[in-house]
Amino acid sequence: MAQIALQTELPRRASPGGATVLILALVVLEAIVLAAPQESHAIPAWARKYDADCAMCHYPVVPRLNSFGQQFRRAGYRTPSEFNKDQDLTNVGNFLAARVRAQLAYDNTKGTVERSEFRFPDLSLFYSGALTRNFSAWIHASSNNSTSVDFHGHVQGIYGDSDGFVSVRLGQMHMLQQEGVGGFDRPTGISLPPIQALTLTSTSTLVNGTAQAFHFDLRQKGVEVAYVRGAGRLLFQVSNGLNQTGSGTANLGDIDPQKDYLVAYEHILDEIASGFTLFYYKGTNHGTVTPVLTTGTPTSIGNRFDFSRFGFNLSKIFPVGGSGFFEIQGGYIRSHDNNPSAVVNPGQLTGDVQGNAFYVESQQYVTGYELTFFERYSWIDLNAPRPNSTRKDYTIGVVMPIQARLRTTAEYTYTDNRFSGITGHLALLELQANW
Amino acid sequence: MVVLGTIALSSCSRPYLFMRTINEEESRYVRFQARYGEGQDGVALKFAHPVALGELEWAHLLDNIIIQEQQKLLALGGTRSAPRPAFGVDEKRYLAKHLAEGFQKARPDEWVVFYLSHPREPGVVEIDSGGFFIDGERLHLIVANYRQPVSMAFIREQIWNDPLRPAGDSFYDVIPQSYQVLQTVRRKDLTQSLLKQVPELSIDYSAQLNDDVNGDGEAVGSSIEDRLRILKRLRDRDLISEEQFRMKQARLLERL
Repeated sequence: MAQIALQTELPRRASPGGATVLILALVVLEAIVLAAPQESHAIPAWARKYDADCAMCHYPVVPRLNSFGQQFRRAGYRTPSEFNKDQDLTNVGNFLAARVRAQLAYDNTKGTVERSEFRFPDLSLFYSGALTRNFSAWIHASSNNSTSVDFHGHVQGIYGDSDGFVSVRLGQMHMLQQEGVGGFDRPTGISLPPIQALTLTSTSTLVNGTAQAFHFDLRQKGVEVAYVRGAGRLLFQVSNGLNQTGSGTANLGDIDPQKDYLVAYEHILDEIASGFTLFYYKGTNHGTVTPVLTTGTPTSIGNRFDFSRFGFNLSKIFPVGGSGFFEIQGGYIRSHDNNPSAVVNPGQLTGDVQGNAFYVESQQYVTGYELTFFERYSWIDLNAPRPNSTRKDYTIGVVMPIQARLRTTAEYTYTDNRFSGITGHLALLELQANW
Repeated sequence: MVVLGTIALSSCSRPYLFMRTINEEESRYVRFQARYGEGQDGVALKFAHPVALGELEWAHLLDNIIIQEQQKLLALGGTRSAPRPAFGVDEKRYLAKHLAEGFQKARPDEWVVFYLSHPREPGVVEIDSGGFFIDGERLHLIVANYRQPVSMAFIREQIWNDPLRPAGDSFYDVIPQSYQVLQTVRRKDLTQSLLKQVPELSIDYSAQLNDDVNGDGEAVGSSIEDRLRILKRLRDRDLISEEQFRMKQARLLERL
């Protein structure tokens, strides 16, 4: 039954050869994992610590969090009864965890070579948890298809009790995406909503053009102060912002006194995973730096301009009889770049670029089979006044936990990028292990 | 279409679980459960019910259900707790009373299920749930959930409505004792859960009760008077012969 459903969700726009390979791979993978014996000892760190199944903190599948998991994260990885209590640090297994994601990808993008390949987008080690009565830490070492390893982490202090507390985070971290609620949490499927993972504005490449590097899926260096009361969290962040590579962190780090600011309010609406987030981000972008950021201290910065992003995200989950749940999710981001060299129309400098972006997504969780289907439409206008400046992404997929620490996902995305004139098909089959 | 079809299939193909209450409180119950409808291959389950076991005998059997925390991966610096009885004093008293009552009334197509919950901390309850049935000479216990922490109400409701549905992976092993055999199966004939396996303990309950009567009393913690009562019930139900009854009765009386 599960295999039939999965097969019918496979990309229909992919070429027959690629689709056939993926169907066969999917069926074989499902057969293998469903027939495999039950493993009962591979438990991620906090599940080990609390003798808890994944469902205590996750819905519908790992790694997306439910409300209890959100509050656990907000509180510096402690449960309500652990506030202001000493922590037992003797068991390393309560802090150490690992994750591997392996993918079979089929990519057919216009203007490039059609290909299928195995990918390893994520090999991660985590060492994290509550350390003392008030402090906790998070360390994440990750490697992707390249050979380099990226280390990042933060220290967090908590002051108050479970009803209301102040949180201070300092370090390198995701500032909102993957840390928020109402669609800003980690995705149910494989890919993030494009409006959170991609740049949202772009000037023309004809005259002094600069691709705006900022997007919400960045790990930035900075500090966050948040106040949590019940289901709500008000947060304020100051970060290095962007350098030429877009992350605010590469090589020399922040290269000028300007800082980026984020203020947001997020609210959990129920005990499953409904919620919303309102946010405003103001930052500075650097177009060119001299010398190029590899070594040495920059002596000049060119084409610096301010930008802002504001919008909202919302998710709401509805029960469907005894069969499962239906979720509607979406978000909108309004972008503004005050870029003196921006070209709205060829040959016309205006100083401003306006962007609009939204996405809507629905998800259906089927109890018993524990399948979650998802369908997403994302629309980004990179340069609102300019014609043919939109990018549209259509995504469908299905995810199923196989055993306690394993999940499998099939996802297909069709991209129609009018701005670049490129269309593409991307089908992914992923196996994710957490232990 | 695919999504709607899957939801429809998941709803329609499920059997109907019929339940009768033996005892129900806000946080726990013991019920009869039977399964009708699609998915049973048209064959009704037939058990050796009703069975007349007393409260004391059930308490003895429950005392011999032993669990142990699982050995955890990466348990550097951690220690594994010792095996211990699965049910606390209050849980054992509650279950024994209502299992005794239930099995005396159970129909051949009904098994007896239980649900016990305890608050763990704000927003989280721990749930034990499972079911008993007697097939031939053996008592079967399915442990679907043991000390399972649950934070979402819909999962609590799922277990409340289908106590043989495992909510997640267990962190405890059932440790088989004398006269017990442990098997791990997907109980598609008894539960609506399709994917998860659950431990099932098969107990030669007559032999275990008989052995408890002969034992030194430490394991079951009962008096000689209690043991004599059990012995008499075993004889009355022809679970032991008259000759065995007299021999064991004499042995117990010698201890006075």
